[in-house]
Amino acid sequence: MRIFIFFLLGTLFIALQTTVFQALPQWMGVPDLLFLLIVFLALHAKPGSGALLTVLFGIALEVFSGYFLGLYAVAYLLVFFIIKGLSTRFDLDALNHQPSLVALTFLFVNAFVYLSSLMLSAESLVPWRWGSILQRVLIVVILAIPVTRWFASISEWFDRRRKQSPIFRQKKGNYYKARG
Amino acid sequence: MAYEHRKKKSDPVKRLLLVAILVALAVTAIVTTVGRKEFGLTHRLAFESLGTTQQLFAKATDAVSGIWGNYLNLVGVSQENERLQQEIKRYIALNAEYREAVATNVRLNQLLDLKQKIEQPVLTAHVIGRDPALWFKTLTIDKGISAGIEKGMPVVTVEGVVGQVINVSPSFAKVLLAIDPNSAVDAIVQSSRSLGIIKGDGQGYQLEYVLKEKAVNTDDLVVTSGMSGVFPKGLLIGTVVDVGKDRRGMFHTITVRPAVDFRELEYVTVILQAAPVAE
Repeated sequence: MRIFIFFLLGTLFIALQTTVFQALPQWMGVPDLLFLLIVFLALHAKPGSGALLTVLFGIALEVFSGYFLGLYAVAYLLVFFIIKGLSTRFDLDALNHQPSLVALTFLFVNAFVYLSSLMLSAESLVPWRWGSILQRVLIVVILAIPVTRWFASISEWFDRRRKQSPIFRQKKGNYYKARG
Repeated sequence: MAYEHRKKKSDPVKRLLLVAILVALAVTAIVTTVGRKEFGLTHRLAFESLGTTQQLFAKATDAVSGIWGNYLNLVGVSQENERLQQEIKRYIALNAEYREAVATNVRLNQLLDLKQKIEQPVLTAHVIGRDPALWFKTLTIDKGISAGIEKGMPVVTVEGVVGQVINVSPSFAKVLLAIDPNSAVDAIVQSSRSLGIIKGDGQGYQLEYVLKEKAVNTDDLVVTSGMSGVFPKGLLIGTVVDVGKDRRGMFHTITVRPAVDFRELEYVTVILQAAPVAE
Protein backbone atom coordinates (compact mmCIF):
# COMPACT_ATOMS: atom_id res chain seq x y z
CA MET A 1 0.00 0.00 0.00
CA ARG A 2 2.78 2.41 0.98
CA ILE A 3 4.68 1.65 -2.21
CA PHE A 4 1.51 2.18 -4.21
CA ILE A 5 0.96 5.58 -2.59
CA PHE A 6 4.57 6.59 -3.32
CA PHE A 7 4.09 5.40 -6.88
CA LEU A 8 1.01 7.62 -7.23
CA LEU A 9 2.91 10.49 -5.64
CA GLY A 10 5.81 10.09 -8.10
CA THR A 11 3.42 9.97 -11.05
CA LEU A 12 1.76 13.13 -9.76
CA PHE A 13 5.17 14.83 -9.48
CA ILE A 14 6.01 13.93 -13.09
CA ALA A 15 2.68 15.38 -14.22
CA LEU A 16 3.29 18.54 -12.17
CA GLN A 17 6.85 18.97 -13.40
CA THR A 18 5.84 18.70 -17.04
CA THR A 19 2.80 20.97 -16.81
CA VAL A 20 2.13 23.28 -13.87
CA PHE A 21 5.76 23.90 -12.87
CA GLN A 22 6.61 24.81 -16.48
CA ALA A 23 4.35 27.82 -16.13
CA LEU A 24 6.42 29.17 -13.23
CA PRO A 25 8.60 32.20 -13.96
CA GLN A 26 12.01 31.27 -15.31
CA TRP A 27 13.85 32.63 -12.25
CA MET A 28 11.93 30.17 -10.05
CA GLY A 29 13.10 27.16 -12.04
CA VAL A 30 11.36 23.79 -12.00
CA PRO A 31 11.35 22.03 -8.61
CA ASP A 32 12.39 18.39 -9.07
CA LEU A 33 10.14 16.75 -6.49
CA LEU A 34 10.48 13.37 -8.19
CA PHE A 35 14.20 13.37 -7.51
CA LEU A 36 13.60 14.11 -3.81
CA LEU A 37 11.20 11.17 -3.71
CA ILE A 38 13.81 8.90 -5.26
CA VAL A 39 16.40 9.96 -2.64
CA PHE A 40 13.84 9.30 0.09
CA LEU A 41 13.07 5.85 -1.34
CA ALA A 42 16.78 5.08 -1.55
CA LEU A 43 17.12 5.84 2.16
CA HIS A 44 13.94 4.27 3.49
CA ALA A 45 12.44 1.74 1.05
CA LYS A 46 13.39 -1.90 0.76
CA PRO A 47 15.99 -2.50 -1.99
CA GLY A 48 13.65 -4.56 -4.20
CA SER A 49 10.51 -2.46 -4.14
CA GLY A 50 12.47 0.82 -3.96
CA ALA A 51 14.58 -0.05 -7.00
CA LEU A 52 11.50 -1.15 -8.93
CA LEU A 53 9.76 2.15 -8.21
CA THR A 54 12.88 4.09 -9.13
CA VAL A 55 13.14 2.37 -12.51
CA LEU A 56 9.43 2.93 -13.16
CA PHE A 57 9.84 6.63 -12.38
CA GLY A 58 12.83 6.85 -14.72
CA ILE A 59 10.88 5.19 -17.53
CA ALA A 60 7.85 7.40 -16.90
CA LEU A 61 9.99 10.55 -16.98
CA GLU A 62 11.59 9.51 -20.27
CA VAL A 63 8.17 9.40 -21.87
CA PHE A 64 7.96 13.16 -21.46
CA SER A 65 11.59 14.14 -21.43
CA GLY A 66 14.57 13.80 -23.69
CA TYR A 67 15.43 12.16 -26.93
CA PHE A 68 17.25 9.00 -25.85
CA LEU A 69 15.46 6.38 -23.79
CA GLY A 70 16.91 4.66 -20.76
CA LEU A 71 19.12 7.47 -19.46
CA TYR A 72 16.94 8.52 -16.54
CA ALA A 73 16.08 4.96 -15.58
CA VAL A 74 19.79 4.08 -15.37
CA ALA A 75 20.76 7.36 -13.67
CA TYR A 76 18.05 7.05 -11.01
CA LEU A 77 18.87 3.40 -10.41
CA LEU A 78 22.56 4.27 -9.97
CA VAL A 79 21.66 7.01 -7.49
CA PHE A 80 19.34 4.63 -5.65
CA PHE A 81 22.03 1.98 -5.16
CA ILE A 82 24.80 4.48 -4.40
CA ILE A 83 22.70 6.02 -1.60
CA LYS A 84 21.60 2.56 -0.42
CA GLY A 85 25.21 1.42 -0.28
CA LEU A 86 26.44 4.55 1.49
CA SER A 87 23.58 4.51 3.99
CA THR A 88 24.79 1.17 5.37
CA ARG A 89 28.06 2.87 6.44
CA PHE A 90 26.97 6.43 7.11
CA ASP A 91 24.01 8.00 8.84
CA LEU A 92 22.63 9.51 5.64
CA ASP A 93 18.99 9.59 6.66
CA ALA A 94 19.64 12.26 9.31
CA LEU A 95 17.64 15.29 8.28
CA ASN A 96 20.60 17.70 8.37
CA HIS A 97 22.49 15.55 5.84
CA GLN A 98 19.67 15.76 3.32
CA PRO A 99 20.60 19.04 1.56
CA SER A 100 24.19 18.01 0.81
CA LEU A 101 23.15 14.48 -0.17
CA VAL A 102 20.45 15.80 -2.48
CA ALA A 103 22.77 18.42 -4.03
CA LEU A 104 25.53 15.92 -4.80
CA THR A 105 23.27 13.22 -6.19
CA PHE A 106 21.28 15.76 -8.23
CA LEU A 107 24.51 16.97 -9.83
CA PHE A 108 25.49 13.36 -10.44
CA VAL A 109 22.21 12.56 -12.26
CA ASN A 110 22.46 15.65 -14.44
CA ALA A 111 26.10 15.02 -15.27
CA PHE A 112 25.31 11.39 -16.09
CA VAL A 113 22.42 12.31 -18.41
CA TYR A 114 24.46 15.09 -20.03
CA LEU A 115 27.54 12.95 -20.67
CA SER A 116 25.47 9.99 -21.87
CA SER A 117 23.62 12.24 -24.33
CA LEU A 118 26.93 13.52 -25.63
CA MET A 119 28.22 9.99 -26.07
CA LEU A 120 25.08 8.91 -27.90
CA SER A 121 25.06 11.95 -30.16
CA ALA A 122 28.49 13.52 -30.32
CA GLU A 123 27.41 16.25 -32.73
CA SER A 124 24.69 17.48 -30.44
CA LEU A 125 26.88 19.49 -28.13
CA VAL A 126 24.81 21.32 -25.59
CA PRO A 127 26.79 23.73 -23.48
CA TRP A 128 26.79 22.75 -19.81
CA ARG A 129 25.00 25.67 -18.17
CA TRP A 130 26.23 26.15 -14.63
CA GLY A 131 23.75 28.96 -13.97
CA SER A 132 20.69 26.84 -14.72
CA ILE A 133 22.03 23.72 -13.05
CA LEU A 134 22.99 25.57 -9.86
CA GLN A 135 19.57 27.21 -9.79
CA ARG A 136 17.94 23.78 -9.86
CA VAL A 137 20.37 22.42 -7.26
CA LEU A 138 19.47 25.34 -5.01
CA ILE A 139 15.75 24.65 -5.42
CA VAL A 140 16.08 20.96 -4.49
CA VAL A 141 18.38 21.83 -1.57
CA ILE A 142 15.84 24.33 -0.21
CA LEU A 143 13.02 21.83 -0.61
CA ALA A 144 15.01 18.83 0.66
CA ILE A 145 14.21 19.10 4.38
CA PRO A 146 10.49 20.03 4.25
CA VAL A 147 9.69 17.58 1.47
CA THR A 148 11.65 14.75 3.13
CA ARG A 149 9.76 15.44 6.36
CA TRP A 150 6.52 15.24 4.47
CA PHE A 151 7.49 11.90 2.91
CA ALA A 152 8.54 10.67 6.34
CA SER A 153 5.20 11.70 7.84
CA ILE A 154 3.37 9.76 5.10
CA SER A 155 5.56 6.74 5.79
CA GLU A 156 5.02 7.03 9.57
CA TRP A 157 1.28 7.25 9.04
CA PHE A 158 1.43 3.90 7.25
CA ASP A 159 3.54 2.44 10.07
CA ARG A 160 0.97 3.54 12.65
CA ARG A 161 -1.89 2.12 10.61
CA ARG A 162 0.02 -1.13 10.25
CA LYS A 163 0.48 -1.40 14.02
CA GLN A 164 -3.19 -0.64 14.68
CA SER A 165 -4.38 -3.16 12.13
CA PRO A 166 -5.74 -6.35 13.83
CA ILE A 167 -3.77 -8.50 11.38
CA PHE A 168 -0.44 -7.09 12.54
CA ARG A 169 -1.28 -6.41 16.20
CA GLN A 170 0.89 -8.56 18.47
CA LYS A 171 -0.89 -10.56 21.16
CA LYS A 172 0.89 -10.90 24.46
CA GLY A 173 1.18 -14.28 26.12
CA ASN A 174 -0.85 -17.37 25.31
CA TYR A 175 -4.25 -16.08 24.22
CA TYR A 176 -6.00 -19.46 24.47
CA LYS A 177 -4.41 -20.26 27.80
CA ALA A 178 -5.58 -16.93 29.22
CA ARG A 179 -9.13 -17.61 28.07
CA GLY A 180 -9.19 -21.07 29.57
CA MET B 1 -61.81 70.66 56.93
CA ALA B 2 -63.85 73.85 57.36
CA TYR B 3 -61.85 75.50 54.59
CA GLU B 4 -62.46 72.62 52.25
CA HIS B 5 -66.16 72.78 53.02
CA ARG B 6 -66.19 76.51 52.34
CA LYS B 7 -64.19 76.06 49.18
CA LYS B 8 -66.59 73.45 47.96
CA LYS B 9 -69.47 75.78 48.59
CA SER B 10 -67.95 78.72 46.68
CA ASP B 11 -66.90 76.62 43.68
CA PRO B 12 -70.16 76.55 41.66
CA VAL B 13 -70.48 80.33 41.87
CA LYS B 14 -66.92 80.98 40.73
CA ARG B 15 -67.17 78.44 38.04
CA LEU B 16 -70.37 79.91 36.77
CA LEU B 17 -68.79 83.36 36.82
CA LEU B 18 -65.76 82.11 34.90
CA VAL B 19 -67.92 80.38 32.30
CA ALA B 20 -69.96 83.50 31.88
CA ILE B 21 -66.83 85.63 31.34
CA LEU B 22 -65.45 83.15 28.83
CA VAL B 23 -68.71 82.92 26.95
CA ALA B 24 -68.88 86.70 26.90
CA LEU B 25 -65.32 86.92 25.58
CA ALA B 26 -65.99 84.28 22.97
CA VAL B 27 -69.17 85.94 21.86
CA THR B 28 -67.34 89.28 21.73
CA ALA B 29 -64.50 87.69 19.72
CA ILE B 30 -66.89 86.06 17.33
CA VAL B 31 -69.03 89.12 16.97
CA THR B 32 -65.99 91.35 16.38
CA THR B 33 -64.42 89.04 13.82
CA VAL B 34 -67.27 87.80 11.73
CA GLY B 35 -66.91 89.27 8.29
CA ARG B 36 -63.39 90.74 8.93
CA LYS B 37 -60.30 89.81 6.95
CA GLU B 38 -57.58 90.82 9.34
CA PHE B 39 -56.46 89.00 12.51
CA GLY B 40 -57.65 90.45 15.72
CA LEU B 41 -55.92 90.12 19.06
CA THR B 42 -57.34 86.70 19.71
CA HIS B 43 -56.30 85.33 16.37
CA ARG B 44 -52.85 86.89 16.66
CA LEU B 45 -52.39 85.33 20.09
CA ALA B 46 -53.56 81.97 18.81
CA PHE B 47 -51.45 82.31 15.75
CA GLU B 48 -48.32 83.19 17.69
CA SER B 49 -48.68 80.43 20.20
CA LEU B 50 -49.76 77.74 17.73
CA GLY B 51 -47.26 78.95 15.16
CA THR B 52 -44.41 78.47 17.62
CA THR B 53 -45.66 75.02 18.47
CA GLN B 54 -46.09 74.29 14.80
CA GLN B 55 -42.53 75.47 14.18
CA LEU B 56 -41.16 73.20 16.91
CA PHE B 57 -43.07 70.26 15.54
CA ALA B 58 -41.96 71.05 12.00
CA LYS B 59 -38.31 71.20 13.08
CA ALA B 60 -38.62 67.94 14.96
CA THR B 61 -40.36 66.32 12.00
CA ASP B 62 -37.73 67.64 9.62
CA ALA B 63 -34.94 66.36 11.85
CA VAL B 64 -36.48 62.92 12.21
CA SER B 65 -37.37 62.66 8.56
CA GLY B 66 -33.84 63.84 7.68
CA ILE B 67 -32.25 61.17 9.85
CA TRP B 68 -34.61 58.53 8.52
CA GLY B 69 -34.10 59.70 4.96
CA ASN B 70 -30.33 59.60 5.39
CA TYR B 71 -30.56 56.15 6.91
CA LEU B 72 -32.75 54.97 4.06
CA ASN B 73 -30.34 56.56 1.60
CA LEU B 74 -27.40 54.79 3.25
CA VAL B 75 -29.17 51.48 3.02
CA GLY B 76 -29.92 52.26 -0.61
CA VAL B 77 -26.32 53.32 -1.31
CA SER B 78 -24.98 50.19 0.34
CA GLN B 79 -27.30 48.02 -1.74
CA GLU B 80 -26.44 50.02 -4.85
CA ASN B 81 -22.74 49.66 -4.06
CA GLU B 82 -23.06 45.92 -3.68
CA ARG B 83 -25.06 45.68 -6.89
CA LEU B 84 -22.50 47.78 -8.77
CA GLN B 85 -19.64 45.67 -7.45
CA GLN B 86 -21.40 42.52 -8.64
CA GLU B 87 -21.97 44.25 -11.95
CA ILE B 88 -18.28 45.17 -12.23
CA LYS B 89 -17.27 41.58 -11.49
CA ARG B 90 -19.67 40.33 -14.12
CA TYR B 91 -18.32 42.82 -16.66
CA ILE B 92 -14.71 41.90 -15.83
CA ALA B 93 -15.53 38.22 -16.40
CA LEU B 94 -17.38 39.09 -19.61
CA ASN B 95 -14.47 41.24 -20.74
CA ALA B 96 -12.04 38.36 -20.13
CA GLU B 97 -14.32 36.06 -22.10
CA TYR B 98 -14.50 38.54 -24.98
CA ARG B 99 -10.74 39.01 -24.95
CA GLU B 100 -10.24 35.24 -25.02
CA ALA B 101 -12.77 34.99 -27.84
CA VAL B 102 -10.94 37.71 -29.79
CA ALA B 103 -7.58 35.98 -29.16
CA THR B 104 -9.07 32.66 -30.29
CA ASN B 105 -10.51 34.33 -33.33
CA VAL B 106 -7.15 35.86 -34.24
CA ARG B 107 -5.41 32.53 -33.68
CA LEU B 108 -7.97 30.61 -35.76
CA ASN B 109 -7.69 33.17 -38.54
CA GLN B 110 -3.92 32.80 -38.52
CA LEU B 111 -4.30 29.02 -38.56
CA LEU B 112 -6.65 29.31 -41.49
CA ASP B 113 -4.05 31.39 -43.32
CA LEU B 114 -1.42 28.78 -42.49
CA LYS B 115 -3.67 25.97 -43.73
CA GLN B 116 -4.18 27.82 -46.96
CA LYS B 117 -0.42 28.27 -47.35
CA ILE B 118 0.42 24.61 -46.76
CA GLU B 119 -0.70 22.20 -49.44
CA GLN B 120 -0.69 19.08 -47.26
CA PRO B 121 -3.50 18.36 -44.78
CA VAL B 122 -2.81 19.74 -41.32
CA LEU B 123 -4.05 19.11 -37.81
CA THR B 124 -4.13 21.48 -34.87
CA ALA B 125 -3.06 20.08 -31.51
CA HIS B 126 -2.93 21.45 -27.99
CA VAL B 127 0.38 21.53 -26.11
CA ILE B 128 -0.22 19.67 -22.85
CA GLY B 129 3.26 19.16 -21.42
CA ARG B 130 6.85 20.31 -21.62
CA ASP B 131 10.21 18.69 -21.01
CA PRO B 132 11.29 19.28 -17.41
CA ALA B 133 14.97 18.52 -18.14
CA LEU B 134 17.65 21.09 -18.81
CA TRP B 135 19.32 19.25 -21.64
CA PHE B 136 16.37 18.40 -23.86
CA LYS B 137 13.65 20.40 -25.54
CA THR B 138 10.51 18.41 -26.23
CA LEU B 139 6.82 18.89 -25.69
CA THR B 140 3.74 16.70 -25.58
CA ILE B 141 0.64 17.30 -27.70
CA ASP B 142 -2.86 15.93 -27.26
CA LYS B 143 -3.14 14.18 -30.63
CA GLY B 144 -1.66 10.85 -31.59
CA ILE B 145 -1.92 7.90 -33.94
CA SER B 146 -5.73 7.92 -33.77
CA ALA B 147 -5.71 11.44 -35.23
CA GLY B 148 -3.38 10.41 -38.03
CA ILE B 149 -0.09 11.59 -36.53
CA GLU B 150 3.04 9.60 -37.31
CA LYS B 151 6.66 9.75 -36.28
CA GLY B 152 8.64 12.30 -38.31
CA MET B 153 5.76 14.63 -39.14
CA PRO B 154 6.73 18.31 -39.10
CA VAL B 155 5.16 20.62 -36.53
CA VAL B 156 4.73 24.34 -37.16
CA THR B 157 2.84 27.40 -35.95
CA VAL B 158 1.82 30.60 -37.62
CA GLU B 159 5.12 32.12 -36.46
CA GLY B 160 7.24 29.39 -37.98
CA VAL B 161 8.91 26.03 -37.50
CA VAL B 162 8.38 24.24 -34.16
CA GLY B 163 9.90 20.79 -34.59
CA GLN B 164 9.17 17.19 -35.48
CA VAL B 165 7.15 14.36 -33.99
CA ILE B 166 9.52 11.79 -32.48
CA ASN B 167 7.22 9.49 -30.49
CA VAL B 168 3.54 8.71 -30.83
CA SER B 169 0.95 6.84 -28.82
CA PRO B 170 -2.73 6.40 -29.76
CA SER B 171 -3.73 9.70 -28.13
CA PHE B 172 -0.53 11.70 -27.65
CA ALA B 173 2.65 12.64 -29.45
CA LYS B 174 6.06 13.88 -28.34
CA VAL B 175 7.58 16.67 -30.41
CA LEU B 176 11.31 17.32 -30.60
CA LEU B 177 11.63 21.10 -30.74
CA ALA B 178 13.84 22.64 -33.39
CA ILE B 179 15.92 24.27 -30.63
CA ASP B 180 16.87 20.85 -29.23
CA PRO B 181 20.52 20.01 -29.99
CA ASN B 182 19.37 16.74 -31.58
CA SER B 183 17.27 18.56 -34.15
CA ALA B 184 18.37 19.60 -37.64
CA VAL B 185 16.36 21.47 -40.26
CA ASP B 186 17.37 22.29 -43.85
CA ALA B 187 17.36 26.05 -44.18
CA ILE B 188 18.09 28.87 -46.57
CA VAL B 189 18.96 32.50 -45.95
CA GLN B 190 16.15 34.30 -47.73
CA SER B 191 18.13 37.27 -49.10
CA SER B 192 21.35 35.57 -50.21
CA ARG B 193 19.80 32.13 -50.99
CA SER B 194 22.62 30.50 -48.99
CA LEU B 195 21.80 26.96 -47.97
CA GLY B 196 22.64 25.60 -44.56
CA ILE B 197 21.40 23.48 -41.69
CA ILE B 198 19.69 24.87 -38.62
CA LYS B 199 20.82 23.14 -35.44
CA GLY B 200 19.35 23.78 -32.02
CA ASP B 201 21.58 24.82 -29.16
CA GLY B 202 19.02 24.49 -26.37
CA GLN B 203 17.93 28.12 -26.46
CA GLY B 204 18.22 29.26 -30.07
CA TYR B 205 19.67 28.12 -33.39
CA GLN B 206 23.03 27.89 -35.09
CA LEU B 207 22.97 28.04 -38.88
CA GLU B 208 25.71 25.66 -39.99
CA TYR B 209 27.45 24.80 -43.24
CA VAL B 210 26.95 28.20 -44.89
CA LEU B 211 30.02 28.92 -46.99
CA LYS B 212 31.98 32.04 -46.12
CA GLU B 213 31.83 33.26 -49.68
CA LYS B 214 28.08 33.72 -49.26
CA ALA B 215 26.99 37.07 -47.85
CA VAL B 216 24.96 36.75 -44.68
CA ASN B 217 23.99 39.77 -42.60
CA THR B 218 22.20 40.35 -39.34
CA ASP B 219 18.39 40.66 -39.64
CA ASP B 220 18.36 38.34 -42.65
CA LEU B 221 15.44 35.92 -42.50
CA VAL B 222 16.11 32.20 -42.43
CA VAL B 223 13.41 29.93 -43.88
CA THR B 224 13.04 26.24 -44.59
CA SER B 225 14.59 25.19 -47.86
CA GLY B 226 12.29 22.21 -48.41
CA MET B 227 15.29 20.19 -49.61
CA SER B 228 15.00 17.23 -47.24
CA GLY B 229 11.28 16.89 -47.82
CA VAL B 230 10.50 17.19 -44.11
CA PHE B 231 9.30 20.79 -43.89
CA PRO B 232 7.51 22.56 -46.73
CA LYS B 233 9.58 25.23 -48.43
CA GLY B 234 9.47 28.83 -47.18
CA LEU B 235 8.41 28.40 -43.55
CA LEU B 236 10.03 30.97 -41.30
CA ILE B 237 12.67 29.63 -38.91
CA GLY B 238 14.17 32.79 -37.47
CA THR B 239 16.28 35.90 -37.94
CA VAL B 240 20.07 36.14 -38.13
CA VAL B 241 21.32 37.96 -35.03
CA ASP B 242 25.06 37.36 -35.26
CA VAL B 243 27.55 36.38 -37.93
CA GLY B 244 30.86 35.21 -36.47
CA LYS B 245 34.08 36.97 -37.49
CA ASP B 246 36.34 33.94 -37.17
CA ARG B 247 38.70 33.80 -40.17
CA ARG B 248 39.43 30.10 -39.78
CA GLY B 249 37.30 27.43 -41.41
CA MET B 250 35.17 27.27 -44.51
CA PHE B 251 31.84 28.09 -42.94
CA HIS B 252 30.20 31.04 -41.23
CA THR B 253 29.27 30.80 -37.55
CA ILE B 254 25.74 32.18 -37.61
CA THR B 255 23.44 32.60 -34.66
CA VAL B 256 19.72 32.70 -35.44
CA ARG B 257 16.95 33.91 -33.14
CA PRO B 258 13.89 31.61 -33.38
CA ALA B 259 10.74 33.11 -34.86
CA VAL B 260 8.67 31.00 -32.47
CA ASP B 261 8.51 31.74 -28.76
CA PHE B 262 8.80 28.17 -27.53
CA ARG B 263 7.87 29.05 -23.95
CA GLU B 264 4.53 30.50 -25.02
CA LEU B 265 3.37 27.69 -27.30
CA GLU B 266 -0.25 26.73 -26.70
CA TYR B 267 -1.36 25.24 -29.99
CA VAL B 268 0.68 23.77 -32.82
CA THR B 269 -0.10 22.56 -36.31
CA VAL B 270 1.04 19.14 -37.40
CA ILE B 271 1.56 18.72 -41.14
CA LEU B 272 0.16 15.30 -41.96
CA GLN B 273 2.86 14.07 -44.31
CA ALA B 274 5.15 11.11 -43.84
CA ALA B 275 8.71 12.28 -43.27
CA PRO B 276 11.89 10.88 -41.81
CA VAL B 277 13.10 12.33 -38.52
CA ALA B 278 15.74 14.93 -39.35
CA GLU B 279 18.81 14.31 -37.18
